Amino acid sequence: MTDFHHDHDPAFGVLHELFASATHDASAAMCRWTNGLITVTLDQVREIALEKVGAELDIGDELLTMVVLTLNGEVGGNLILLFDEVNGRQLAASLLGCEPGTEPEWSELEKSALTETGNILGCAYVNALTRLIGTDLMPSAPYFIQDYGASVVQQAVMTQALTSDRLLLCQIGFRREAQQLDWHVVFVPTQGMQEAMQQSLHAAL
Amino acid sequence: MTTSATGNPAMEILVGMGQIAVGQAPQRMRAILGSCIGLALYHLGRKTGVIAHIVLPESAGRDGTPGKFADTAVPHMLELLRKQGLPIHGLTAKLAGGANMFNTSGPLQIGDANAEAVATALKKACIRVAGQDVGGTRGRRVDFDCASGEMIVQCAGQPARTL
Amino acid sequence: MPRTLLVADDALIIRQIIKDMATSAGWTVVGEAGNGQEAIDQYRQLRPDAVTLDLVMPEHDGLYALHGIMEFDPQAKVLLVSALEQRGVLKNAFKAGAADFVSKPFDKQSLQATLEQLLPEASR
Repeated sequence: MTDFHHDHDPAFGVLHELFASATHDASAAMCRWTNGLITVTLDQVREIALEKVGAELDIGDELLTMVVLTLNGEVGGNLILLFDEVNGRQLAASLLGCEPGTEPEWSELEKSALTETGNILGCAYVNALTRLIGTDLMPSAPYFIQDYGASVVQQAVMTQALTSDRLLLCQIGFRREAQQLDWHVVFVPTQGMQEAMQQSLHAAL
Repeated sequence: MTTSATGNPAMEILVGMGQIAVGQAPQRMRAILGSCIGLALYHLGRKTGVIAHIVLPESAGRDGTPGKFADTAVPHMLELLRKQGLPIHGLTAKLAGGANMFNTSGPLQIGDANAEAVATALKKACIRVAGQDVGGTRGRRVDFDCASGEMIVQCAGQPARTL
Repeated sequence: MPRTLLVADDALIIRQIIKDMATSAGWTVVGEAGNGQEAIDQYRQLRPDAVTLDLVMPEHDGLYALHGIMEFDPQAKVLLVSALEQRGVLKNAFKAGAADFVSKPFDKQSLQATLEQLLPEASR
């Protein structure tokens, strides 16, 4: 099984357009949170074959530092913010106005800085998606996790995997000025969310 | 970001979600597991194993690769081994995974359901389980060594365990 | 007599930022809470002049806390501070008695000004 490209599929284009719009809002929030340092862009919205999730997302088989935010319910999804250790600590340090930590265990304040970043980014998406689809979406409190990235992504794609071997994922990248950062966000919408987005666009036309 | 267990990519097989792979010594097979189960069926004498990265407990008429579901993965694994000329008797099973990653409640306690479904499928096929490391809330990286039949389970934040 | 403030947010960094801002503006931060139930319990115990309250918190969320606080003290001055900015949710919150709302990420001066409006120093 290979990637599925939907360049000419209007439905796919809808999703891309909606996520791009939501990403614009998320970028503004991220920029304010980091005092103008960091912006966010939508790298791609694509379908990936189930067995290729780990490889295609290039999350490898090492431990990563992540923040997970879940939108519960049928119209929902999971948002995962992924960093390696060095990048995660650098972000925490810049938010706290101090040097990056060197202790093996992250301090509660460091974890909190990253978790709140996930909250601000995640809620920016939630706010935008709520406006776009006209349904209130309630996110979970975000939480901090250090684990194998592929393991966490597995759990996040589970609702889609229940019904399909092709998973829709949105990949979001971060930039500091012109430089791309090695942080990643993956948003995995449920089937219900995808349908709600399709319906909202049809209603708007 | 990917590390190599042996330093030789040709000897390593990465088994993705829903996949089944057959390996022979000196190959090693790797899977990263969350709620999924990594199941290895192994013939010690022939140093041949098959590993499945099982995602869900039951196919229940759903589309999907055989390796995706516990109830289809085990029969398919046995069929692959049969094609290699390996008898079912003499096979042992080792499994890992089945975590509940987000510590949630509700219908998506897939980790537990997967572990249970694999146990049922193995029992049905009369295959002995020689070792397992399932449950919990942490991810696992498993490496299966076809030469020794060992399954090395690395759980985040814990020492590696050899099944 | 300094104005007293309870800061309720599950994020330690946010509690720290709000505490530092409020203290430098002359408030006395008398307590902190990391979830909705803690916020209610702390309010009952401390009877602060005002509360900053996050909406998205684990276990019991901000709306739960708001209802609990307003039930205990219908005159409570609650300032919502949240990244979640949804019309339906905020409408319910204002209906339940929230005094004002500041969205995250916030500008410290805006937050300070909004707190000031909630309970001007001169009113004490």
